[in-house]
Formats: sequence, structure tokens, C-alpha cells
Amino acid sequence: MTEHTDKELLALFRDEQSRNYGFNLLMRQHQQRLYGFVRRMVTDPDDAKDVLQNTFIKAWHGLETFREDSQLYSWLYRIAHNESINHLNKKRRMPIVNNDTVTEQLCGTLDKSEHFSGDAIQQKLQRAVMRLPNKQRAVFIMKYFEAKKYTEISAITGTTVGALKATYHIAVKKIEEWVVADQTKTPD
Amino acid sequence: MDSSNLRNTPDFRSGDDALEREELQRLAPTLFGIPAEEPFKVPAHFFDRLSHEVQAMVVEQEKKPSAFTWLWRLAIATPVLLVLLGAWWFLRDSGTVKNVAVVEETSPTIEDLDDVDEVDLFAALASDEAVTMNTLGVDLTDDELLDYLEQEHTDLNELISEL
Repeated sequence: MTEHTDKELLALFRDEQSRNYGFNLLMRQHQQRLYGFVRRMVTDPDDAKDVLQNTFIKAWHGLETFREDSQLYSWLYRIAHNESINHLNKKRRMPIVNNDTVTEQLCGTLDKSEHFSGDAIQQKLQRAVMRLPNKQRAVFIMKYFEAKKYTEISAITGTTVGALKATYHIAVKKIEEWVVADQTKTPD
Repeated sequence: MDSSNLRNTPDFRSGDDALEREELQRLAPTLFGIPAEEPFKVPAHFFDRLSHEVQAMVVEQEKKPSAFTWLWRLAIATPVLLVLLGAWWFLRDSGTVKNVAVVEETSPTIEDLDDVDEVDLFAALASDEAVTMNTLGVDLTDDELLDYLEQEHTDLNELISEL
């Protein structure tokens, strides 16, 4: 697929005649990478679909006033990040649901082979990731799985680089501890 | 379900510099040893449909707002109007209440004599009418009056002779 520059996509979107076409191109260019992040955050494919749809709907409404001082991808990523966090917070706020229940629900997805193809160690890793608090999880996913620079993550989350480094450090230690504990509990 | 694993995701840790890799290896050797994989499956045709679904939802949302916005405006305006109306009604009634200053009546004291004009005092004493200090707005006993005159160094004999 041909990659389009931000300027090209924005020009197409801002022209009434080519708006739908421009937005279609924008989505096709960014949807897979955004989905990867959102899916790791919420794990359930239906939830991921809802979050990604909301992300692009918000992008549609915000593109008209989008200031070109940041990259489109970073801006979209920021919306996806916020939408994912909001979605998870909403789940946790449901009256009869506590944190452990939500984590268990999220982990349930990993047991279904139509949604998850990883082996036992991948499953343990994902279970550990899901136990992290939402914001820590987002930072861990962006750094560990997507190898983003701290400056890039900072632009997305609005957190300082120093705080991100500390957050990632804590998250890595927790994951290591949980994965090791999980391996000891059920040796493969 | 016909599904495929995520593609085009960066090879994780590939962008990390050597220091970060070393730190990860030192801090979390088990985590470091887990191979890079993308285990989540994407539902079949998910990305083919997504843009159509989103655009359909946007069109749907753009149709709704006019009626929806009017309902919201009405829902907000009605209670505000009622509160303003209530406030006007309340203030209108309370506006008729007169502000009456309550003056507490107190008994005069010896200090009040300072306010009594000496000319008036002598004039009153010289008149034939029975004069009490109350006539002058001061209610004093004889002893208090004597104390006062003494305090003011008034010569009683002179005063009596003047009378």
C-alpha cells in the first residue's frame, strides 16, 4: 500500500469532495498499528473494535482543527491511548465488578484459540501485562512491544520522560516477578 | 473463524539501544528471554470493514445532532428558567418587607449627663414645674446626682443661691 504524507491526507480530508476518500486512506494507513496497541490494552477483540471505532470517530471530528505541529500518527495514537484507558476505567467502575474480575475477564480471551495463538510462555506474559494498572500497561506495551522512544511515548501520554522511565522500570520488575511466580506455580 | 495474526507491528526491542537491552536483560532475564511474537489474532476481514463501519457511524451521528441538541438545550434551559422565575418571585415578595431598625431602649447612666446642656439644666431647675432628671432624658437617683455634682466640682451652695 502506498504511504501518504500527513499533508496529502489532510488536504484530501479538508476538501469536501475528497473527504471520505482521504479519511479512508488515513484509516488504512494507521489502523493496523493502532489496533495492535488497543488490542494489547483491552485484549478482547470486540472491545478493541469499539475502542478503535471511537478513536477514528473522534479523529474525524478533530481533523478539521488538527494543528500540524505533531504527526498524524502520534495524534491518532494519543486518541487511541486515551480511549483505551477510558474504556478500561469504565469497566472497572461498573458497580458489581472489581479489579480482579476485570483482569479475569481480560485473561479469559487468552484461553480462546480463535483470539490468541501464543504458547504457554506468551500466555503467561500476557496475563502478567493484564495485571498492570492501565497507565503502566500502556507504557509497557509502547516500550516493550512496540519499541517506541521515550520522547514519542511522552508526546502520546503527556507524561515526562523521567516519569515514563520510572514507570517502565517498575512495570518490567512486576512482570518479571509475576512471570517467574507463574512458572514456578505451573511448570511447563 | 478465518483470522490472521497482527502484521506490520515493529519487531519489539529492535529499536532499543544497547543500553536499554542490557538493562532489560539485567533487570528481567526471564522477560528478556521470551521470544518476540504477536500472539493476538485479528478477526477475519476486520480491517476491510472498519473504515466503512466508522464512516457509517459518523454519518449516523451527523444526522442525529439537530434533534438531540434541541432536546439538550431544552433540558438545560427549563430548570434555569424556573430557578430565575422563582428567584424573581421570592425577591419581589421580600422587597415589600420594610427594614425596621430596632432601637434598644437603655436606661441612662451617669455618663449621659455629659450630654445635658448646663443651661437647659439650670433653666429646668429654675422653673416651677416639678423637674426630674427624666425630663432631661436622664433617670438618676439623688445620690447619683450629688456624686456627679461633686465630680464636676460644682459648689452646691452657689447652685442653691442661684436658684
